[in-house]
Amino acid sequence: MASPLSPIRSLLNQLAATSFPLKTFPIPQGTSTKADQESSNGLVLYCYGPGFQDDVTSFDPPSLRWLAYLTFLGLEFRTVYCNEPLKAPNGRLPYLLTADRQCIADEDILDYLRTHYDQCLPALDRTLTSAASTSTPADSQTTDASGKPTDSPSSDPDAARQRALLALLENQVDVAVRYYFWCEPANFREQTRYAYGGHYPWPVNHIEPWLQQCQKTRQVAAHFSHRGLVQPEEIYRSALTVLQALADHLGDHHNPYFFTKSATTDPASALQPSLLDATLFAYMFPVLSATMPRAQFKTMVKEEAPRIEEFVRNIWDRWFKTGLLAQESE
Amino acid sequence: MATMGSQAKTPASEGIPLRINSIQVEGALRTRESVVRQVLAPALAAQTFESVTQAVHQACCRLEQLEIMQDFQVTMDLASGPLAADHSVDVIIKAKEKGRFWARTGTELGNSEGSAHTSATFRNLFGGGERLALSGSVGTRTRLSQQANLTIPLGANPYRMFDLALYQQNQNFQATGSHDQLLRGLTVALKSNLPRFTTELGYTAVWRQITQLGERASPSIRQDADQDLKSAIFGTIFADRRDNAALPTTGYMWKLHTELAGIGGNVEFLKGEAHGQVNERLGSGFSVSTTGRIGALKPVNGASSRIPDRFLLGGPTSLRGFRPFGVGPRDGCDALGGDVFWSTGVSLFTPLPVIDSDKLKGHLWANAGGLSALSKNESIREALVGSLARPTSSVGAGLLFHHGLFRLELNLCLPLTKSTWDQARQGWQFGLGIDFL
Repeated sequence: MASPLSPIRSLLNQLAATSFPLKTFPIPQGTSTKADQESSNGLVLYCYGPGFQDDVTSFDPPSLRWLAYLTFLGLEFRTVYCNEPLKAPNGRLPYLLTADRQCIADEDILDYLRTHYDQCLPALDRTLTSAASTSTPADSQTTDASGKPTDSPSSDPDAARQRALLALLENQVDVAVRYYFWCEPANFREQTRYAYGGHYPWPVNHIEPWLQQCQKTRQVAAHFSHRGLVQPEEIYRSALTVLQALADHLGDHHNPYFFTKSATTDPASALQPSLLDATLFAYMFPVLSATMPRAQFKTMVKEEAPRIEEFVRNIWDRWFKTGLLAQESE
Repeated sequence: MATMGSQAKTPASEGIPLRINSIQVEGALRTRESVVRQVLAPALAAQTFESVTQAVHQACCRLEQLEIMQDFQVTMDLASGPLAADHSVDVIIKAKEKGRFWARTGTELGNSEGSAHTSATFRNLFGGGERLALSGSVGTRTRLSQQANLTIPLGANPYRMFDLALYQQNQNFQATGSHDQLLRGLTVALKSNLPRFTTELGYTAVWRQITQLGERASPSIRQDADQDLKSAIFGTIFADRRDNAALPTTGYMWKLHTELAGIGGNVEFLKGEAHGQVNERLGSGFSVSTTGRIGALKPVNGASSRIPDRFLLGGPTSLRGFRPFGVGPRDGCDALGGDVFWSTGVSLFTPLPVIDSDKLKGHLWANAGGLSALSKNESIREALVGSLARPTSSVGAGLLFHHGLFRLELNLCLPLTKSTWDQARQGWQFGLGIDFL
């Protein structure tokens, strides 16, 4: 005699054998995400921008740093001035969207470039990246064109100098630039808050820059916390000391970029600016190009470090002015 | 204490003629006299014994509903003053004012969400039944919420309220959309409880941020990560004639909601949504429930819609047999939401063969729906017709437990049809919530 549960059991067996869902409809044609369209053309740099006086750079030093560096490398990339740090993987602009839809945060861009565009990087930056990253010793060993291993980064005096100069820039000059744009009340009121928050609707256009200002002010205060009350001139003066040291290192106007003297054996690399050049340009171009109501730092740089102004103008003329002219002619 | 004199002059047309000569309210220490007068005005106009007693009773109820007073004792005595009219009474209402402050903590279960909350409420803030509620909660879906809510009865009427809310909410969409939504806003609304339905008309301004993008956030989500200000007027009409919201067996419910954004801010759209449900008892413990939902969102000026405004579909409470928000446009693992949606469901609730309980029931159901994004130059009608032509559907059976405030379901789900991007969930699915399809 059949069990009363046997019909249920057979139904369950039938269901188990059937593949569900019974029908799958295709996605309607013409439905592609906006991001599909965005990332279909290689690298995209999402950053703040454009510049205070132009449409091809950025008013934000970290954004301009990578914008300039990618330009120096000659890579094909597109710049999107999104002005929205919430889009970034770490909440800070810039970030890089790759062709395979990977999002590379600010601090990982150099590693990404080393991995995927190693041949485009200046030799000096290849050693810098190797030294800075937490890669294995095997990874960090670099080779020259003939395949022979070069000196390790620690033994390369130029690499060591470059690291030291970068650290000085990121320490002393960064804080001065930050103070200049965010903590000088007139500069913040007249320029910075419009650059960073002008695109938001009211009242977010007031709240968001103000929140950012509080954060930057805290960072500046933390930097000088060991020294008590610090006058703006002291902040600018310590940055200027670094800038003058960088100017000395640059040498005369025959050297358009850093370390060109030591690269005389390789003329090609002498013509390629490095990450240090991009970083100095990124910090100083917004300072020198913006018209600020309180321009003490700009005046000090122009008067006491004219070589830095010359360096910035040189980079602008060689790498960006042509782009601007091309854009205008379009 | 508030004392009032009657000005009624016209004779009663029916019943035993009676007027109120004076009313004395004892215990109204912090309540404004004008509010007490408004509440008692109908009683002073009453001219028969029945209408007087009824009006006094309603006044007491109203004061209780306004959360002003409680423990009423009403004394009526023939008016004895030298100026007292014939057939008039003096009324004395003795009551206690409700405590001005109360606080509570607890846990809540909602649609696939659990939370722990704490709140403090200040009653009768300005002597007119105003209520200020401050609350905070942490939960699974709404990570953190803080809210201050001021409710002011209009015309001392507990069925007509002015509501002002300030809030901040952090909503967790990491599992389905690799992001959080941080909302900071204010809402002002006029709420009316009419005999047949409830209406709400209001304005909202919300500063919205798409934050905390996960490492694997899709480029689409990353691109939409932004902050905006939604400034919108909205209206809601809601009627609920069900015997129970969580497990209805009879009655109906319908709800219409519309929103127009773009009065200031940088978000412009028109959005409409309709829900309806009809429940019918079939006898012998059987009942059937039919639910339908439809909604559309149309951005203005050719802009594309934004994630916080879009509709999401899928999951045990919205479309069984599919993952939460697993229906409609996606980028990788992230649900992007859609601009047009519809869903419908039929449920048959059955008694169980062995267990005779109203709380535990059997459940046979069929669900269908669709969610699609409006492409450029596509009308809502075209999108809806397209979505109806490729429905996402499922059938299943299971058990449900009715707790009283919420419903638990365990279903065996069989997805029948789906679109390529839909995430079907064949097999067992657990659901917890109040508002099921």
